[in-house]
Amino acid sequence: MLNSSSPGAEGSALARIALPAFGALSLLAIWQFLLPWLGVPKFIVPTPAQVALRIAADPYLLWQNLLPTLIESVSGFFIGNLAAILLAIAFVYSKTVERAYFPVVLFLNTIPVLAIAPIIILIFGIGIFPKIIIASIICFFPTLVNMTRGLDAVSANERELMHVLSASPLEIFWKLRAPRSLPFLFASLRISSTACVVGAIVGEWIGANKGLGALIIQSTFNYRSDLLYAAIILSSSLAVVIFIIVTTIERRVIRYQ
Amino acid sequence: MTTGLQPSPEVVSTTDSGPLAIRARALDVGYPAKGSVNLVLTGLDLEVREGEFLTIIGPSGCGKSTLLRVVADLLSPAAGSLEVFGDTPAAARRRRDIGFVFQDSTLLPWRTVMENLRLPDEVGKKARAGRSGAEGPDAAELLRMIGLAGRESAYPHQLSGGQRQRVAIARALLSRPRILLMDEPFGALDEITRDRLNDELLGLWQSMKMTILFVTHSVMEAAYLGDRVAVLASNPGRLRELEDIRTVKAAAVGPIREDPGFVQSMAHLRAVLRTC
Repeated sequence: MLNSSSPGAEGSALARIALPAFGALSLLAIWQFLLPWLGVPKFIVPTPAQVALRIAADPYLLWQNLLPTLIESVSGFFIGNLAAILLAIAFVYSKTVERAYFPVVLFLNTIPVLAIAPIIILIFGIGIFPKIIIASIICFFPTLVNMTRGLDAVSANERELMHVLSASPLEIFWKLRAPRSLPFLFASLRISSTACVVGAIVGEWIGANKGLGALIIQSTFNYRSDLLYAAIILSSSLAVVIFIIVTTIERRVIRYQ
Repeated sequence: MTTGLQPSPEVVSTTDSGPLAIRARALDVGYPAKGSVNLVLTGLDLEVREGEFLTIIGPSGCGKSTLLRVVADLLSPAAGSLEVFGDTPAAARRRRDIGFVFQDSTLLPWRTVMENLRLPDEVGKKARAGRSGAEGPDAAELLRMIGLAGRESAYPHQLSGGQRQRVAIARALLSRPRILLMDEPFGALDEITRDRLNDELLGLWQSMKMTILFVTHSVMEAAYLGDRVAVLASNPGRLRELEDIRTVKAAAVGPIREDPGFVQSMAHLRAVLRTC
């Protein structure tokens, strides 16, 4: 008679959605009512309602600035990760290449993006291209490290199995190393999915007249804090959407575990 | 006691004639160390006839696995020679004469049972292009033989240790090898599962008529499975004794594992092992 599946499971499903929603709404409510009560002016911190009104009032302006950031982030994501994957393959097949170039790459990675960004802008100008480069630089390193580890995460027995089966190097790559590396690759793709947006925005801060980064700088200088907050919400939404796409693909590709 | 030693010629004759599967002559095998070679196996002379079940036992570091690895062309001899069907191990490997089963099943976790089974068909195409097509059971039939029909789309992590090892054996058998090399394949399993798999393996061996080299740490397993038991000594690894136990087992009355003659053979093997 005891039906364990209905009340318990339903309760937890409700809790999974309702509790975080309640948590977020309660904080928004405190923000909405506490700030005016404390006397914080709206050009310093707007209330959530004012931000929502700004988004509703200026959808075209926001879209115009979202689009370049979107293009830069996604292009940077693809270019940076692809370059990292290719270099990782070179590293795995040639220890000489790895020994020669990994320390250099490691050193370059220690330079903060904020320091590299002006150099890139200086070289490539103000267009969309330098932002794509900055976004791809940010994606590059985690994927290089993870992918090198992933391609090498092959046990001695697995290698011996392939040898006994007389597998060719290409077969060993596609049937063993590549599938082995996928969980490592996706771990870094999840990092890149949000980092690429950061890269694009940092690039736009340094020099751009379009994009969410440029909008953030302009609205800060003009004390248009409702627009500033709207731009921030859009940039984090962009990162979240890319993240969700990556994890959805990951769940489809990696069906074991 | 004397009944256990009664000869049983028809059993003996099955593997005393016929072509040689493996012939080792003064075989030395080692791993490169600083400036020299660290020998793990020295002066090994061994002949294994086609169709024989040879078990190999000995203390750690005696070169049991090393011997299998030379036959499988995973290691090269430092001196002496080893022939597989009168050929080099590399040629035998390319002909797919060799199947290998490891202690861990080495199933690829991203592949289902069926996809793991079929791996030998997907790789090494270029190498085995010239192979005379030996007809054997296909993947579906092998799956039935190991009692896993219906589990073809399960992933390895959904199987028990014993089931995983069955799949690994079936995968090794897919290309119908003439020699099956098994490196402590049941070493990580519980005793009940191990006993059952031992019987299943004997069934497969009899129905598929192949040569098996089987490394184990268990005297019981070595004696129960083998036509002959090779006892290796360590430091350096060498062949201490080759014990033929076919006659003892052929004469056994009732369950082999409890037969007095068989128990005596095991006691003898244990005594030899203590001196290794």
